[in-house]
Amino acid sequence: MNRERELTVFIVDDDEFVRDSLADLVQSMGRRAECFGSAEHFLISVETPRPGVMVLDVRMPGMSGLELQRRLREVASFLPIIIVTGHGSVPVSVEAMRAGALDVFEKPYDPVLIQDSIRVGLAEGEKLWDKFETATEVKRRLLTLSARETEVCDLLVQGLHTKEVALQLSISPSTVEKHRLKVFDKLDVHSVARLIRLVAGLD
Amino acid sequence: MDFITKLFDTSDFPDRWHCGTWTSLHGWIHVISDTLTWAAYTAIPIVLGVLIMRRKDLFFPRIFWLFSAFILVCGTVHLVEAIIFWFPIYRISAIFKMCTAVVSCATVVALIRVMPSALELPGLAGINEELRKEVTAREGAEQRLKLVLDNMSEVVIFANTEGRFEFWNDAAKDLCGVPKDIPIEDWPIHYQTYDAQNQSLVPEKELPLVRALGGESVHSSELVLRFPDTPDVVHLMCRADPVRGKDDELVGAVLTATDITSQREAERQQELHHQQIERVTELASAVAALLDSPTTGFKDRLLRLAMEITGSRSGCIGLLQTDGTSKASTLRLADGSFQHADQLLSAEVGTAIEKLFDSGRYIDNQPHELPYANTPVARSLGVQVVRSDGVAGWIIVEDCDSAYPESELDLLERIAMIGGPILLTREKLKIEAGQRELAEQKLRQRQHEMEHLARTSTLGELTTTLAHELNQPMTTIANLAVACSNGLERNVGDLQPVRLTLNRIKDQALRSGRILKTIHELIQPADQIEVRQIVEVGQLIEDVIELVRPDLEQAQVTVRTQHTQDVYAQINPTRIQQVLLNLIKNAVHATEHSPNAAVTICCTAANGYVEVQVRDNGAGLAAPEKVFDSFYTTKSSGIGIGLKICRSIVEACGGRITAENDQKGGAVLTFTLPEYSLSDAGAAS
Repeated sequence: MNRERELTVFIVDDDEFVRDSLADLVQSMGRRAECFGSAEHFLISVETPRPGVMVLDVRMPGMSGLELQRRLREVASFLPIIIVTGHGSVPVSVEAMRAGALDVFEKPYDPVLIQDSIRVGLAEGEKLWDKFETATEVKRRLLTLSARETEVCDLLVQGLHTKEVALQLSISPSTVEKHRLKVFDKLDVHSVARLIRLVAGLD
Repeated sequence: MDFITKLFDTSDFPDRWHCGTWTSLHGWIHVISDTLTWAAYTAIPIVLGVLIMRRKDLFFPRIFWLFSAFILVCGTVHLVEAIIFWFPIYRISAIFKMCTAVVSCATVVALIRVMPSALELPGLAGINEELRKEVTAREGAEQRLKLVLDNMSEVVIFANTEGRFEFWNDAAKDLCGVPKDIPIEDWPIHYQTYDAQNQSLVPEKELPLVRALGGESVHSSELVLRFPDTPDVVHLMCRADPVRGKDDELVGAVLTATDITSQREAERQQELHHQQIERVTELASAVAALLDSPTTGFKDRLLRLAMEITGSRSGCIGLLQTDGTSKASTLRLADGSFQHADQLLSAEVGTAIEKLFDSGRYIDNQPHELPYANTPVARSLGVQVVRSDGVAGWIIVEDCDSAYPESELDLLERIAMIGGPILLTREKLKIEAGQRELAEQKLRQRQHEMEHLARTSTLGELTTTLAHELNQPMTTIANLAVACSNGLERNVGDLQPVRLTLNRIKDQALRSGRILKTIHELIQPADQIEVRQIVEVGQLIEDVIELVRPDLEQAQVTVRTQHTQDVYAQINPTRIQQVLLNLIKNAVHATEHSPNAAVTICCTAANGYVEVQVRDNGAGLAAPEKVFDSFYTTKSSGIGIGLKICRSIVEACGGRITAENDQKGGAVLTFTLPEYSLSDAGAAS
């Protein structure tokens, strides 16, 4: 498995000692860790989506941890985020949880607990990554459909039968059937139920 | 004896006519011849006598006298011979003949005696030859004399009694610039004669030759001759003497004069040289004085010196900064005032500076206008001040009464050489001092900020910072500890990574210690040096309120103060300010939800103590007896040591602090400090 595909713990913390010690901890768990001194550094270094989990410090010079979390939620929802805060203030924890953080730890935390959280995060991250990859694949395949095939596919996903689709599109049922088979072929499915699951999963 | 008595007795002898037989003719021949002979013999001595009287240069005059006498007596003998024809006076005749014989013999003796000398007397031809030779020799001598006179460097002029020039030598002609063959009548009179100082015309009667013609000898009279069409002058050292004839009569006057122009010029140069040496000496002492003078205004004084030395009315001195821009030019205007202005460095001065940097020094004696003087002036002089790493400054002086000679440039260069490095060094020091001042200012600013932070931060806020700082190493230690533990489980046998991790744990523990120390220094700087001052407590309270006024306004809390004037305490003001600050902030916090929130601060003095009370109208204290305990807090963000520290500060100052609830609601925090009595201090001292 190449580095890009390997599950990684992304550690973002401005304190180098905290950062390195956490990386040691992750490595002692037999997992891979990558360290970043700031939110900006992470954004510059990691351009392509990668699977794993992020341990993110809130208080940093420059972009704050919460800001990075908000940005990642838009472009990489597959990456679970564990928030670490030095403040221990309730509002920060609430905001982080609301933004979908996997866990919030207050420094100094119990490393055993964060270790568990990282394990959970990695498992979760792997799942999200698979889902992300599948969705990416489906999206790619959907793009190969012709305009008519896309219309047919959309209507089928809405739960319409062949005849209803033919009526809607003012074409013959046999033509619809021909398009349906093409869609099944292109998306590598064998039933309408499977098709619905695939396409609906994208949302 | 009868010879004497019968001297004129003729009776003894017949007259001659009757002695013998005379024919009349024969007798008269005798008589006439004798008479004529007598006449001639008488005339000859008279003529000779006149000759002797007249000619002084005749040789042997006594011989002439003898000769005259001899002729005279001979003549007389002849006369007597004639008389005897009628009167036979033979006795008289005998006497005269005897006289003739005596005088003749005497003459013979005298002649013989002078013969050797007479033999030596030249003949007339010899004399003529002599004369001719003498004339030739005289002509040669005259020629030589003229040659000598003409070849003399001295001017020789001879004037006759009428004042007309009769002789002048070639040197005189040269002096007047006329040809050698000029006739004596054409003596040029186109020059003017001035006195030795070349200042005023010499009146004619004062001229040496004129004075000499008056019979006076003039020695060492110096004159200056000025000629038209040339600025050159001739200095003459003259001597004039009257010339007198044989009989001491004045026949004219001679003037000799030596051209001492080059000598005077050399003297003048030497004088100038002396003056310059004097000026350099003066300069040296002026510069020495300059060096002794205080730092300020060095530039002005250096310029003033340069201007004084060169006799200039204005000047400018400038420095180039390292970025190439000019700086701090000083100009002296004609009215004597100094102006410091870069904007006055107009194009003209700019050009001058450019010229200066092209050649290092320059003289410009062409009239040009000074931009700042409003008057057209001539001449400027400039030198550059050079530092080893390049051109760094300049001195220019301008506006002088006369043209600047080259020597002034040397002088100015000397000034620049002496003053320049000092000027530059002082300028550099000034810049460095400025930078140091700036750094010190920054440092003070930071200290001030630190003090402000120490005063305004409540302990709660500081502990939050402290907690955050300490969280980092604590977290690191915990992480590493678990990593260590994991490592022990996974790699049994290889303890090296574990050992390394444990080392890092130790480093982090030490880091925590350092953080604690830093924070400690930050919040308690006054502990290092316990500064106690005599403070007016009322003023201290006002200062603290001023510090927290923004917070009070934001929280909409009214603050009232009531304090007795002139109450003093000897305390560390910063620490007591911290106490007050803590109490006020607590009060503000307590009144957060109260309508018309108000904090009252009172200060009174009684029984040797100053009492300060901070009263709020909030909810009051839930447990007044516990507020000074550690870790007792009602605030979500506090850790409960603020009041405990307040108590230790107050007690360290020798006072007490208490907390209670007001019966009307709200809390009352009171602390006391020992009062400092100014009169006690007066008595003690």
